[in-house]
Amino acid sequence: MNFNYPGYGLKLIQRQRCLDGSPHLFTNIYKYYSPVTKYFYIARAEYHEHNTFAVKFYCKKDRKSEFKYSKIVNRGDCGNIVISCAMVIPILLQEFPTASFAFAASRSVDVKKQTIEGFVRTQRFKLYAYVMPLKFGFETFDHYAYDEISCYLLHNKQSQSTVEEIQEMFSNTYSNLMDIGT
Amino acid sequence: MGKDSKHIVSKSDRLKWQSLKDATQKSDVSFYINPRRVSAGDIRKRQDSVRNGNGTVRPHLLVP
Repeated sequence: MNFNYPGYGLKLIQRQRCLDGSPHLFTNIYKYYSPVTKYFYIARAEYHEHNTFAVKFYCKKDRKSEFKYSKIVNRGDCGNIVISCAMVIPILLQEFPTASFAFAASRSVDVKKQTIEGFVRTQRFKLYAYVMPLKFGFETFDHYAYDEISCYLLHNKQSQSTVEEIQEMFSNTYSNLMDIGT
Repeated sequence: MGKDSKHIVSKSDRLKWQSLKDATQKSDVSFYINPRRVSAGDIRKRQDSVRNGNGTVRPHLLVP
C-alpha cells in the first residue's frame, strides 16, 4: 500500500501560547473535515524547545473526552485523516525549516468494552511507523522509532539540537506520556 | 482502508488489552529506551515495496 491519499485541506485556527514555564512554548491548532466520516478533526502541533513539534490529532466530537486521543472513531477514511494530520509538517517546515517532529501513538481505548491497549507498539504506532517512511524521505530527516513507548521522531538533519537533547527534553516534560489522556 | 489496514496490523500482532478499570500499567517513560534508527536503506526499501497493480509505484513524498 503506497498510502497516496490526498488528505484534506487544513485550516489554521489559532496559535496558542503556552505560558506554564515548561519547554512547550506554543501550539498551532488546525482543523480539517472528512466528508466520509462527516466529522471535523483537530490537529495540534505543539512547539517545544530544541525546535521540535509534537504532532497530535483527535476527532473534534471527542474534544471534551479525557480519551480524545485514544478513541477509535471507526467510520473509515483513516488514510486521508492520518495524511491530513501529516500535512502540517510541510506547512510548518516553511516557517521552521530546521524543525524536528515527534509523534506519540496513543493507546486505544474501547469505551464500550472498558478496555485499553498496552503501550508497547500500539496499533496507531504500527500504522505511523509504516506510513512515515512512505511520506517522509531520508534527505530532510533522520527517522527514529521508539517501540517500547510507541513514539516516532523525525529529526531534522539541519537541526542544531541532537536527538539526545530532544529525547531528554521530552522525557522531562512528559514523564507520564503514555498514561490515559496525555 | 479497512482491508488494507490488515496488512499493517495483523491480529497476531495485537497486544492484549486490559480492563480500563484495572489498568495499572503506568508509563514511567524514558525516551532512552532503545531508540531504533530507521536507516536510509530501510526507508528506500519500504518505498520500493509498495505496489499498485502493474508494478512498483513510488509513494508521493510529502517531504523528500
